[in-house]
Amino acid sequence: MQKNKIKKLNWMVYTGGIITAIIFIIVLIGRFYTPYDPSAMNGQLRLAGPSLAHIMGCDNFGRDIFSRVVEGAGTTLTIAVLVILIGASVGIFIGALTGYFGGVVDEVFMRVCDLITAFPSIMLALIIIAILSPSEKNIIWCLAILFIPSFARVTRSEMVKQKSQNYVKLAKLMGAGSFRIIFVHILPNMVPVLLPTITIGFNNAVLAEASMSFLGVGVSANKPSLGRMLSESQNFLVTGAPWYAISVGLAIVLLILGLSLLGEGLQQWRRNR
Amino acid sequence: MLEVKDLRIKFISRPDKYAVDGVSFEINDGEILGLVGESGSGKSVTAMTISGLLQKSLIEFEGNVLVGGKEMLATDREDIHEMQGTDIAVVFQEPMTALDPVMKVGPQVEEAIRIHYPEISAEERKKMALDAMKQAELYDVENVYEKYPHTLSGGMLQRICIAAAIISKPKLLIADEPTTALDVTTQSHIIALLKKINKEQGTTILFISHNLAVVHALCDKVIVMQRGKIVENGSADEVFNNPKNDYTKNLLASIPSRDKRY
Repeated sequence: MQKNKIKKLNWMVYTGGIITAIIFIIVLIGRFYTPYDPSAMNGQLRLAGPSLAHIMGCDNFGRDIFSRVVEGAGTTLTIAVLVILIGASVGIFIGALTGYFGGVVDEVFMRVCDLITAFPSIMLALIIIAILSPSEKNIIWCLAILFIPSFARVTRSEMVKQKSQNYVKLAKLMGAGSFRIIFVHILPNMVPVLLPTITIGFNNAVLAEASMSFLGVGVSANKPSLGRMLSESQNFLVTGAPWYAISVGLAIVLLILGLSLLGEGLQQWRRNR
Repeated sequence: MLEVKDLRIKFISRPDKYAVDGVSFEINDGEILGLVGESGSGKSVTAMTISGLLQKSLIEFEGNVLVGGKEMLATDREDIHEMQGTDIAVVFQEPMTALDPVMKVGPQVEEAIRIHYPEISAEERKKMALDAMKQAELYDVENVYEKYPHTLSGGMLQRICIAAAIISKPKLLIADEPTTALDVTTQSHIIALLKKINKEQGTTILFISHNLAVVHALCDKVIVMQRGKIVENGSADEVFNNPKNDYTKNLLASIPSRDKRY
């Protein structure tokens, strides 16, 4: 039973990790080199099907879809990484402090988090972006703020659990200050909880960015992004170029699958510890 | 060294009852005082108050606790932080959970020095930690220094905790049932170790236990507590050989022996 669980967990973490790693490597290489210029148009190759030269075919302007997918995944991942970087650090910081000290500040922060989570996050993001004008910077800030509550909550509840542990008491008895206890002693002990949260959050950030670009409030039109490409490709889904939508969709599915497996696997590892 | 005067503690959640009700005692420099009593008799609450661990918002208290002439109850947090780890050190009951599970034990031994004497260099600090670990009768200290808590045995962890407590040469060491979670062989080693520290460094020890045999073996003076009150107070030999209070007599009679079967 126990052995089985560990096997399953290994399977998930490894598969997810390998898929994610391959995508990240391809995207990283894509920052410097893509088989074709992602924005070079070629009228003769308009909606050309997959071939050896263009393994995913070409889009309605004759641009190489594979190069654009790599470039678009790069845009999406960059945004997701920045969103999680900001959201997680702010959320963990707030959650750790409010969880440790408790009291009125804790109560107020948690109600603010409730307020943010009460709205569907995509809708809230759409409204904010519609007001602020769509740009990469605005999307990152907007999504980061929306992601803060989930991190703050998880951190807070784990902090409440950890702060009554004996090793915290002992650290207090050695005269350690609150900040030392929180950041040197307790936070490293929370990594098993935070790791899956961050992975799943990353997953959600990718989806959120893709959805927003799909709905037309994402990154600017001249920059490829997975969501925007998916939205363009739907015009040709039935009429001539199904591979366009399929390749872009496949890229999103693989990205999300890898991250989900990784997140889920890590979460099981935490539970089984 | 330690003077407790008419200490009364009440938990806000139980306002009708004193957890500690008018406790007064003192320990002289270099003495070992045993605090005995059944579960719920208030001995741990007393110890936690002395060490400054009780959250002031959850309790009401009266009386004085003087450690080396300094008042522990009235002073604000900063002053207490200053004393914790330098004047007062504590060893806990459960060595398995008392240490940070994701930190190597060596740096945890150094903790008090790192906090209170930031001017001491890292190498110097490590040397002090290794010394303290040797004093706590750990062997192969260089190797143990790099270990994580879950790889060590209970007895070794308790020695690590003791090393962490004595590294800053505290004047008062509060040992809250330090042998309860250990097997008898390890128990006797830890007791011998505490005795040695007391002799060599002149550390005053407040030893809390419900194990009378252990208390008799270690302590100079004994206090017996029941329901938050001190019922008997005297030298160890006096209390054990010639108990005056009925509760003490019962407590002594309750020690299971080899010839009595239940």
